[in-house]
Amino acid sequence: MTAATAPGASAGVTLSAPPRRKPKVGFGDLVALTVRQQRMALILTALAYVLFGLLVVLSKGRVTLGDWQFDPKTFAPAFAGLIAVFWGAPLLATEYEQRTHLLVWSQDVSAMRWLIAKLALLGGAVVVLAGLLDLVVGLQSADRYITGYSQFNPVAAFGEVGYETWPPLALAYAVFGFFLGVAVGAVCRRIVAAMGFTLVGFVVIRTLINIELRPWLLAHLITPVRAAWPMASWGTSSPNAPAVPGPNDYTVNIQLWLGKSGQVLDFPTACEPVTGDKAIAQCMINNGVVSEATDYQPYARLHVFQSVELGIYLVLIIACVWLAVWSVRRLRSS
Amino acid sequence: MTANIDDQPAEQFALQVSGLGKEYRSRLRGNNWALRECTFGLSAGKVVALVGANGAGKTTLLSILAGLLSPSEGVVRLGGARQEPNRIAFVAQEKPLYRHFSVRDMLKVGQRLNRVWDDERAKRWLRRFDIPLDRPCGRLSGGQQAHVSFAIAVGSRPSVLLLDEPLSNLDPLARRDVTQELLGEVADTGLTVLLSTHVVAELGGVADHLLLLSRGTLLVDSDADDLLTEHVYYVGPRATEPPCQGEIVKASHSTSQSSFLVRVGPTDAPASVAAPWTTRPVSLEDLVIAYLESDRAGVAVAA
Repeated sequence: MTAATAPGASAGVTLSAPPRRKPKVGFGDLVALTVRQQRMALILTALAYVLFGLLVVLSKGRVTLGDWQFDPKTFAPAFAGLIAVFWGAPLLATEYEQRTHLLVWSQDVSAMRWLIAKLALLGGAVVVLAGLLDLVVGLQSADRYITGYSQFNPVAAFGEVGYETWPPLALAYAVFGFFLGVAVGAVCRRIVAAMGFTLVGFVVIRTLINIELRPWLLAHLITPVRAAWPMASWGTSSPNAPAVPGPNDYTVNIQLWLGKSGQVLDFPTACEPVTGDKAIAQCMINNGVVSEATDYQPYARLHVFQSVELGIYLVLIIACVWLAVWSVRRLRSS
Repeated sequence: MTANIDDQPAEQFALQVSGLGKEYRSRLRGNNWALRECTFGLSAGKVVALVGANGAGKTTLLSILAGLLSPSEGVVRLGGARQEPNRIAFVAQEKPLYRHFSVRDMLKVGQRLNRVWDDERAKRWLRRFDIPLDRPCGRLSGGQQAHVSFAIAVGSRPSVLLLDEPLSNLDPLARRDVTQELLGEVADTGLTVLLSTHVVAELGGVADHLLLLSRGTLLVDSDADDLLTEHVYYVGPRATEPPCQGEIVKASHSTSQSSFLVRVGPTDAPASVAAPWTTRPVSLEDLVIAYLESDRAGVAVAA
């Protein structure tokens, strides 16, 4: 009962090219498709990275806008957030929202291959872009531009910027941001929602690790070094006292009172009403305090702590990749 | 090659499905079979219509056949005696395209993601419907977007083309043109088309075969011609029984008149009926609607 006429086919003999054939859909085809899809995002992001990198190099750590002075390095972590929100989150959410995953997955390519090609290409682009920027930022040593810094200065070795601009760690933030966005987009499947949740999730996870986990690790992962001074010399500024902790060390406990056997004591209540440095010191000695001490992590341990944090982010990255892969698999079986 | 079904060689079937089922598991809403024990074969070079009420499992079935969904049970086999590898193309109901891609770019996507690509065939479809190649897909009308989807599907030279509600975005004229063009492809290349549709009225003269799904099970699996000859519509005085043997698909009664749609066996002679009963010819549309209605009413109807 097929039709007698075939309108389209009756066009006759034209210069019709024979159909193209290939043994399978290659990785190159998937890469080309991904590049075409992400063309604008790739160009704009690369441009932003290059401009920011130039600013970091040329500003020599200080930009003045009217009364406002800042070190552009402090904005480097924001780029990881940019990658998370604008690259990661829309990657799968856009396909799901516009239903184009149905188009792609019903061609001669498996969903898993397509996903792996996309993640490998864009993940690779994140590594290259963020890696270059992180090298540029990381090579700007903290003490080169900032004078009068202390251990609380963000660009000191254990300070927020100094700690986080270690290139491997900075790169891990960007890669984590990307895969966090991908995983969130894979689960929530709406572009705007995915971008919002990714932004919130990225900020929350980074903040929690920064203000909760990192100080805890610094205090507990390795027993801090304890520097002690006898109470007798207290209040007299001794030029011979060791300069610890230095500005690049991390202070865990700035002031401890130690007894005869080195045990930590509370500040004696009897000495609270006492005034005058020497009188206080004498009062404390009378109450059993032998020395004052400071607990700190020396600069030499910096990379140990950074490596532990790097490991935590690697675990998070693997979890996000697994979540994205699992959700694509599940979509096909449920 | 593959196992036989109904003693017919597998080569005759472009697509064979046996015992196909899909269970959606949900902790909240409980488990639910969207598709159960579906067994059928699609002969090569035929247009097969898949009809059923909303939620009958049409999209689930097509998604499984398209490889987008893995079945809970059963197997799907591709067959046919073509020179080329047997492949399935699928056009989803939403006719999804990358909105910022030009039509030309979308064809490029089709070329990149398929092992076989016939650019000329895809472009011929677009020329036929005057689709501009340089316009972004997002700026095309719904009907034009549908044509781009069809062009990609046709360009990938499938042995089986699955279309989910292909006519839903099209005006009546375009519907006719699309069905004609599809029939042309079928005639030219031995393509097998399985299309789900709500536009039952336009099945006549298009569908060679009918699959009717109801609540996940296959109610009708029959050639359209056979269906038309096997069913008779009787009209006569009010009665509780039709004037002949057969299975009542649908019965309706008014105060003075009764009408029965009866599935008579192919051996019975349906036309021989005594007055005052008269017979009326049945259209494919009548049949589909009667089956859907009777199924909704809960009348037991065996396929």
